[in-house]
Amino acid sequence: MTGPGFTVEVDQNPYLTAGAARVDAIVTITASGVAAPSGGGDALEMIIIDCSTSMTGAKLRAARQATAAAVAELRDGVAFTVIAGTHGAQQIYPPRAGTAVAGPATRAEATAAVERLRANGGTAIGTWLHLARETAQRHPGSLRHAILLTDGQNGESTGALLAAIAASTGRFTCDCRGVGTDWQVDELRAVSSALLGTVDIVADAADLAADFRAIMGAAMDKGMADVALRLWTPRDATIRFVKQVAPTVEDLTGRRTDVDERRGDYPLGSWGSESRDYHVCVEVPPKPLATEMLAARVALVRAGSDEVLGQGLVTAIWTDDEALSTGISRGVAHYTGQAELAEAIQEGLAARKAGDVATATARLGRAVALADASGNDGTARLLARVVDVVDAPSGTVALRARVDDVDEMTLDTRSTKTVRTPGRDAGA
Amino acid sequence: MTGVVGRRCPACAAPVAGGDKFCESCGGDLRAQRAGTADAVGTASVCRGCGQPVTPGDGGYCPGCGLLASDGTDRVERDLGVLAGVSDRGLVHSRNEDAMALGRHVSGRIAAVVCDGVSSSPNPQVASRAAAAATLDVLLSGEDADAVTPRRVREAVAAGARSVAALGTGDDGPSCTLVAAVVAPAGDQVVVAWVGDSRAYWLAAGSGSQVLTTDHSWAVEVVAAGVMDAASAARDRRAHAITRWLGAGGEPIPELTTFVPDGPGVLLLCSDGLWNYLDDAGALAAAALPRATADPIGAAGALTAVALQAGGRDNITVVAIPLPLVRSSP
Repeated sequence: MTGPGFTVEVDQNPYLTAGAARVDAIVTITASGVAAPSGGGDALEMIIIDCSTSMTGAKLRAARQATAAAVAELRDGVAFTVIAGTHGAQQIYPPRAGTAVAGPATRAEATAAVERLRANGGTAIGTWLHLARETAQRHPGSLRHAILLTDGQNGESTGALLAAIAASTGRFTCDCRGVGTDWQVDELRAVSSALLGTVDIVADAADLAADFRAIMGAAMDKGMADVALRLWTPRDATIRFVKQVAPTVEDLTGRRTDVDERRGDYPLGSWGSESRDYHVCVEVPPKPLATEMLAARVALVRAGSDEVLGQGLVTAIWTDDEALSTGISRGVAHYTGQAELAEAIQEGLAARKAGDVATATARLGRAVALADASGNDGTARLLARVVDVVDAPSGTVALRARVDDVDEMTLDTRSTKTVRTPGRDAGA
Repeated sequence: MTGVVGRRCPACAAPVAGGDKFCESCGGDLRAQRAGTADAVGTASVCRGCGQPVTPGDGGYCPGCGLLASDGTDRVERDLGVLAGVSDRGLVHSRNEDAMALGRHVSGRIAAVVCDGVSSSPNPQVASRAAAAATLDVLLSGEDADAVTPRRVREAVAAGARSVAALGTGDDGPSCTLVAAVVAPAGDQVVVAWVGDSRAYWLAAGSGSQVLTTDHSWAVEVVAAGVMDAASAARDRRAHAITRWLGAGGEPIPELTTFVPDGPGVLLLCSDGLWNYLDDAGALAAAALPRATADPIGAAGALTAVALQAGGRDNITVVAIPLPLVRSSP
């Protein structure tokens, strides 16, 4: 058995026409042999449950079951806590400072503690994040992960939440779930996006346990924390953007930390044996025909180190052969469309909320056409619950007069989900 | 002096004792002198764009401006007196994927190999360099009586093919063409082998010039099969697609011809970077002769210049071998 390995594959058309400056590439990063740490000693799991008054009844019962299901998934040896969130944050397990170590006894104790959860209070997600961050800071080097569940709108100022998100960034990763339809997609997306996790709606509380089990199962498969994409670009180059494009669209451009004059790191969070795609777009100074240059070097490193886990090269070659320079890489074309799809959905839904029917119809119509052309059937189905599709290829749609909140929120939260290019592995 | 160059093995650069016939390190024949693309690789260490030093750790690109660093092979000129070659990047390609290897044995036997990396394969220059060097090694080894024979030339090409196959498997491996020639010490016996569309020509005064090879290419095969006439085939998009090559998925089986010159002339080996512009044997002879009989490096340079002036769309490699051998006394 070999150790963990990362392969970096670059899909691009390196040929540029005279004077062209923009270089696009899809970089597929595949980790293999990244097993969970044996004994579980290098992992921290935090389960954060909204216990505000609105959770009373079926939602809290479901949250208790879901938490118990997630606790049951914990591998022996993993450090964990359960946090009850209201207008403040309270650790309910272990019932003392610090974390518990997963084992038969602690799992049973945690499950019993969760049974005693009561709903009473407000919603201050920022305070929950602060407590999780303080816990995570006592586990440097570990895989640090949280599940955050809420059912309502945050009661804090936007500034307070953003400050808590900023303080937590890079400290732990966080998957967010909204139960019901009274929570704000934008708020949870802000958390999950910055903390390199997922966000989703669980419309029916009865589905919560299965969802938590799946999240925790995936978390238990992670084997390497704090991986970063290190991008080298040549002198006088401009980085247009760096985006994750599969499995979801996530713009990483603003998350760069400079390493030196030519290199910067973009945090990618923790990895199991999985594959993700990134779209890197740089502008380089045009060179004479027949000249080849390195437009970017994409390396995987452990954050804060120079240990290169894998790397790929993005090149540019100027040519007067139009047969070469006019071809666009299939991956670049596909993911440019997927990123536009996410954007069109979010803009369309925002316009719809604002009562701008013309913009909403145009943007959601565009989304329908993009989803259709790229074979993104999941997103196409969600769109069809929000608009009446007259002709998918041309994006001819009519807004529905009545749309369930559930359908609108589901489309919104899942708008960033992409499909890979046809013919390629569906990936992890 | 003999073919021994200094006190180092010409093949592996290991130090050798003065009287040794074979290298203690690599087993190479020290009675042979070699030159070519291989000894040019890696000689450039400064970015040709911005002047910044480029180290092997930089992976072939300038660490400052990103420009592809020259690997030393943009222009290779090698003159062994009795034969000489020029290999040039041309004006359109960003690197030289051709390779040449020239050698002369102390016995008087000479050999040369030209390979052209297949651009649609990854890092084809690695294949062409490996094939040229490995093939030449076999052509220069052993005694003359065995060396200038079809059997040994086949072995030489097989060694070249093995060296390319070792570079990669499946569709990921690099590949190249090959044309090789070995000439007996008296210059009266020539064996030529080829795979793909790199060519050998015999250039002579008067009407004796001829192409010695038949391309392993789509155009030649459809014409030979009577499917198309030569003019239509040459115009076809697939005309230049080769049907045999060394490396990934290829058929590395050489075709051979034995040639006995009936008078003085010049044996020319070249990649398609030259013959794309000048493919008629008589026209090549007109451009190269009479200079080539006494000044092979000058003639190789002149033919390369013809291709460059015509556009230089591909890498250009030209090796000139005057026969009977130029009497040089180095």
